Formats: sequence, C-alpha cells, structure tokens
Amino acid sequence: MSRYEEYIQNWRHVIAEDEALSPEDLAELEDHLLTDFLQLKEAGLNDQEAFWLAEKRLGDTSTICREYEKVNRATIWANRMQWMIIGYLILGFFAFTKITFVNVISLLALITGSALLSAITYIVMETLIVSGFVCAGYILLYGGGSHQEKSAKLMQALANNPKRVTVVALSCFGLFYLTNTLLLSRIVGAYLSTHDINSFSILTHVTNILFPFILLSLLFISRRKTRPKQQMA
Amino acid sequence: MLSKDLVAASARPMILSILSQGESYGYEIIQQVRQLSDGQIEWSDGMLYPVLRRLEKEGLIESEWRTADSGRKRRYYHLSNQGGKALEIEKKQWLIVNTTLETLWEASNV
Repeated sequence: MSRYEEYIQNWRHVIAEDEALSPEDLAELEDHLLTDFLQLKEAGLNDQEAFWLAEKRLGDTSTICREYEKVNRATIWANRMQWMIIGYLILGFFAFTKITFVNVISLLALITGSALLSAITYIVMETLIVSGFVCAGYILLYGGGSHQEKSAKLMQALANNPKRVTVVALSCFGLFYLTNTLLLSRIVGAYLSTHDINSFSILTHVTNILFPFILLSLLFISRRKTRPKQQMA
Repeated sequence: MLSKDLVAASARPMILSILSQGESYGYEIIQQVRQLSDGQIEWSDGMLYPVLRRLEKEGLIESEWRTADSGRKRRYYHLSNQGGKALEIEKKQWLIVNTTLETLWEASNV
C-alpha cells in the first residue's frame, strides 16, 4: 500500500494542477482508482502494474479535466473571482499601510519642518508598495490551482473568522481615514491660505478617502460568496 | 466498438436506468454496464463522473457521501423523482428510434 501512496500522490499532483476538479470530484476519482487498484491486485498484479492499469482505465487526464471544466465552469470562475478580490484587498492593505505611514510622517514633517523625515518616508513607502504589489501579484496569478490546498485553508480561515477579518480591515481603514483626514485638513488649509485650490491634490485625497469604502464593500461581497458555498459542502 | 456519439448519447438513459434499480456508486455503475453489455460497451472510467455531475446539476440524480467500515468515504447516487420522469421520456424516445430502425431493417431484409 505504501507504493500506492506514492503513485496516487503523483497522479493527484498532475490532475490538481488543472483547476477543473473540485476537492470532492478529486476524492471521488481517487476512490475509483483505489477500488480498481485493489481489485487488480487481487487478480494477481503487482503494485506497479495494478496502478498503471487502473490509471489507464480511468482515461486521459486532460480529456477528463476538459469535461469537468464544462460542468464546473460557474464554480471555477467564482473561485477565481474570490482570489482576484483577495489579491485586490491585500494590495489595498499595503496601499493603506503605506499611505497611513506617509500621512503620519508628512504630518510630523509639516509640524517639525524636517527634510530627513521626508526622505525616510519615501524609502519606506517605495519598499512597502513594491512588496505589496509582489504579494498581490503572486496571489492573483497563483491563488488556486496547484496551491488549492493552501488557498482552500486560507479561504476557510477567512470565512471562519469574519469578525476578525472585519476588525482588521476596519482598523486598517480607520487608521488610514484618521491620518488622511488630519493631513487633508492641514494641506487644504495650507493651500487655501496661500494658493488657489489645487484640484488635483484634493481629488487624490478624496479618492483615497472613498477607496476604503469600495474595498469594504468588496470584502462583504466576497464574504457572502464564501458563506453559501460552505453550506453546500 | 460503439461510436463515440452513440456511447455518449446512451450514457444518460443507461445511468438513469441502473439507478432506477437502486442506489449505486461510480465504480459499480461502470462494472454493471460492462457486464450487461458483455464487454461491448467499455466506458473510459473517468468520463462517467463528469456525466454524473451533470445529471446531478440537472436534478435527475442525487448524491451523498458515506463512510464505509474501512474508513473510506464514497459517493453514492440515487435517482430523484425528476430523474424517474426523465427516464420515462428517454425510454419512449429510444423505443421510437429502435422500432423505426427495426422496421426499416426488416423491410430491407425481405
């Protein structure tokens, strides 16, 4: 039976690469392979022969995946959308952390008039935003597929802790909102007293304020999608 | 060997008919088809399961996971009420085709 474990791992690895099968579909096919394998062993074949024949009888992997894809299409796309949303939210998280940090430093710089603080701000800002992009990009591209087990666990964790996720998201947004408003009021105040209203700068800040609400609503939408799926499983 | 189209078309009524005799699971269904057709009908095993998925989506069959004594989980299928009705319709359709062809062949033999 230990050789079977090795063979089935290889087989599972190949077929899981293609996102077409749900975990249940995969379990069902595995059950079939095991049943066939055991029967063939009873007929006298050795481990290798039995598994080879069972796998051959199951049929061509890509054909099977194509058929499953037709049936599971809606679920596959819903799954992909969830991953895109998660990637987007994580990007948002990094963007907000960066902006919050920038806001704090900018406020301090405005108050103290220090040039060094501005320099530090930019270095940290760039590092954070680049790592954020890399992280989000990875998740957008690779979420699901061969990482299905890890992604399924993460989805479960997010779905099982909606309160915690919401608290983290809200705190992140809240902090951002607070610092942004403080900065905005100072900047707008400064501009209004010395220049004409800089519409571009204000538009940027207004967008920054609206952004968390858009992301928040996405978080709630993705939560609602995960919930019904849990009930079906 | 049967043509691909014929195998595909006959899969539905065959699965529904087998399940109308009682619940079963994938492997057993394939074995029964092989047995009943004297090995003439050989489904590539993996193709059965997407068909079962589709039938379940259409509401014609229902499935549930059950744990055997060995500890393994297995998916069992049974026919739904809708499935029973669909089977009746399939039966009628196949009998029409069958009767027509038989008549034609008898006529040409004479």
